[in-house]
Amino acid sequence: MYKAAMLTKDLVAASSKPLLLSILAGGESYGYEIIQKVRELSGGQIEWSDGMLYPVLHRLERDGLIESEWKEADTGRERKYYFISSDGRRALKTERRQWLAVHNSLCKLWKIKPVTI
Amino acid sequence: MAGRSQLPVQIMENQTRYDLNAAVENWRNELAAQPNLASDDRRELETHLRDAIAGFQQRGLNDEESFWLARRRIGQPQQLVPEFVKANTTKVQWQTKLLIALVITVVPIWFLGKAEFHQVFVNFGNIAYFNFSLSILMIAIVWLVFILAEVLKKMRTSPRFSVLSPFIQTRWRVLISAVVLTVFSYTQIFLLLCMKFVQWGIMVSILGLFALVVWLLLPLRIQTKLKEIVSSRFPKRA
Repeated sequence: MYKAAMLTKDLVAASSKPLLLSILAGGESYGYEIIQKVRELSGGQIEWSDGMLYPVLHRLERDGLIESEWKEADTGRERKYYFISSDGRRALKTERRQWLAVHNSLCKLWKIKPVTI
Repeated sequence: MAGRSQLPVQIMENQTRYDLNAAVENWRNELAAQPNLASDDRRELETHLRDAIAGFQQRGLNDEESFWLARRRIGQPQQLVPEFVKANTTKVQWQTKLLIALVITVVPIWFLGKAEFHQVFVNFGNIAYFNFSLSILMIAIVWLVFILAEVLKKMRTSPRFSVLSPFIQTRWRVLISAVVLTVFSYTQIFLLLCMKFVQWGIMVSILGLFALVVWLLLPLRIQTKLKEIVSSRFPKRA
């Protein structure tokens, strides 16, 4: 998770929580799929080291923001699926407000049109 | 890739020579050699490796290249495992631990206050005061655990080497240990107050100590496995 091609180490670490919660808010998913999605969304700018994703997921699970379950996929292979909890949804709302606050302040400074919250 | 320009016969030879299953098996053994990694975590990393291999194969890479890239993306076990351990360990504040130790101490002593407190120390080890003596021992053990845990933490000892880690590794473990010890102390005092149940008291004491030792010695891996079995019996609602 701390190997970033474009983003700094600190920014990758800080943004992993809202990214993971947002992805899981859109539906349950498993590690490999999440990595692929992040890579795709960021156009390769956010590059997570695969193995380091799991400790981050486990930390979110430990904090009660997500839950996990082993389930058989269509292919017959068992995978550990993660899904967001109600606490996670609340945490995501807070994260969203905070990130947009930073985003909007920067937009004003750089004279770019901000996004409405 | 040099392999692409080779004659078809040589490519086939290369592919038959490379045993993907054996490579995955080797990788799995390497991971299993890491003592701090729970079986659930190993299984999760293995499904990731297989997914990643399949992904590269779909993009036209051969078995060897796919395995090599998938393994590289996951990273070195030596670097991964500490992160897994950190993520699975809840930092229990020392204040919380102190509070639990205090409650465990105060509750039985408050109870003991109703009996002749000094008698317990005078008759320490006396069979009639067996249960009382044991309660005092339990309280002493709790404090010892608490103090040693703090000292070991200060010494930055790896959790693997700490005998006390099963007690304090997660918030749940601290809570379970505290509840067990409190109930245990209560039972001792209750049984002693009804003197006729001395034999029962001794039995409960022995069982309690036995359970405690089992809890202490049961490796984390087995406990994780037990947790898995329980969670598969009662699956979480999606």
